[in-house]
Amino acid sequence: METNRGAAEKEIPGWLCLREPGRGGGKNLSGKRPVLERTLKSVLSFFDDAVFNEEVSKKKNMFLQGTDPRVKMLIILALLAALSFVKNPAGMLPYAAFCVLAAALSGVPLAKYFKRLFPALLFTSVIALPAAFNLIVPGRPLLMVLKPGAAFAKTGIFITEQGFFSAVGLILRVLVSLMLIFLLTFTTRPVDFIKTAGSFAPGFLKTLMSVSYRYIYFLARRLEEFIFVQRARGLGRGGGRERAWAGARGAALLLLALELKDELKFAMEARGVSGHSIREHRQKKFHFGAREAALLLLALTAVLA
Amino acid sequence: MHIPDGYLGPATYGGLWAATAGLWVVASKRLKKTFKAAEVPLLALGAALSFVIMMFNVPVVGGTSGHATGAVLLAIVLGPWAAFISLSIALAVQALVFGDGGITTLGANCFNMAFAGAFAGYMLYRLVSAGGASRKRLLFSAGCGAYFGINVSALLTAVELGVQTIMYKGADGRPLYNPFPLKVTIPALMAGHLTVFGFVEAAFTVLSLAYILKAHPELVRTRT
Repeated sequence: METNRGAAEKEIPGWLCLREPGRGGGKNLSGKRPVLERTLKSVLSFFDDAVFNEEVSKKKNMFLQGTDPRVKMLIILALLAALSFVKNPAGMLPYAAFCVLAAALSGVPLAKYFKRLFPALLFTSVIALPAAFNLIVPGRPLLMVLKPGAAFAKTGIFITEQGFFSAVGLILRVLVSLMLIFLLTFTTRPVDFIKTAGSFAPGFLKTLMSVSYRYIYFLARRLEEFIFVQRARGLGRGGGRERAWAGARGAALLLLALELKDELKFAMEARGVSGHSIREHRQKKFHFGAREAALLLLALTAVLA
Repeated sequence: MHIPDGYLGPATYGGLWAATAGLWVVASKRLKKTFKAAEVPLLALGAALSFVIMMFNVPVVGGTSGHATGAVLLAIVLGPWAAFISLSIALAVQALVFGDGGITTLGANCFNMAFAGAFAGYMLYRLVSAGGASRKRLLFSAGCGAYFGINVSALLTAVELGVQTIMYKGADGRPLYNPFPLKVTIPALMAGHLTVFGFVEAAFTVLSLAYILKAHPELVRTRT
């Protein structure tokens, strides 16, 4: 391997091996072009998530993928609502167990499933942990951090029982909610998802949701192109110029959207859109079979546990 | 500023869902009257655009980053009701398809950002720009509107989060949802928005509007 790399380096001209700032994703760039790099990161993460969702949701003969999307959505949303009524952190664990079991049965890669939860875990922990202290939530002392008598904390600083359980409860509630939502998004093809979500909304909003979803990808791809062009030119470094670039590109996307309006109007008409609402797509017959019954049973077990 | 699932109790998120659903009905009826059928694609594209605008990531102090919502920019170009619908759809797609934001809190997020933010910002824009439509004045008004709009959204978010400690307590007195009281949530959210995120939103709106006024000034219209 090393030999091959060495041979390859010998064949590549020296000028091509130089890491010229502004022409690649080098480490030094992230510091100098924060707007470009961070925006690119969000665009790429958007496409990554979309591809991952599509791949997992297309798996055949799996538990949740084979369930009627309307039944699946209603049950998971009902679980989400039921979870919000649970007061005791321990009462949220059956919901988490349901998610892990359903994800495993549906072929969702568990490592990726938990990895997607990590940013939320980090963010919520940073927010929730100060609440464990008596300065935010007063209550019975659980763990003394600073003894009473200090000039800036006469009553001392300690973790309270109420604060601790409140912080744990918040972290668990946020994580289990996300587990439920990811279960839904990972196992439902985005197009079916929009169609199903739209079936609960009035015709006008359904049309908008369905059409706009398709154009999100188009505009995100344009944004990605804008970034690559800007990177390749090596222009616009520095906070002020980068912010100006972001403003101009935002406006350019808006103008692009306005220019697309007529094209989209003709496309919508050709596909059966008349007036303000889209002509009803014939949706699959509502199906409640063994899979749907199993999902309902599992959900009820989680709620009653 | 998105409130994730788990931070709001059932009565709060249920009430805000109901209020926002009512506003969606009003907005749909209004737009059906004021928007011609041929303009429906514009609304759909507005929704897609607001989703993509939220991808612009501007670094701020402390290694964190913020993004613009484009609420006031969309309200200036499409009108406030259309901006409300467009932003709501963007937030719904984020929450439902990508799991960003929250589903139980979608009503609250749409109310704070798409409705209150867009309308408050647009009203200030109209107020400041009234009586003169020079380029500088329009840009200044848009900047003021954007700054004000996002701060109104932040204040509402802070109040909704803060009242949870009053509304929901366990038998032992522990907060069941967001554990921080109003005296913490208001300064915590407003400090960042008054000093940083408000200016990010204003700068994005002004720069975008300047570009639009240069390339297509006819697009800056006054739709109610």
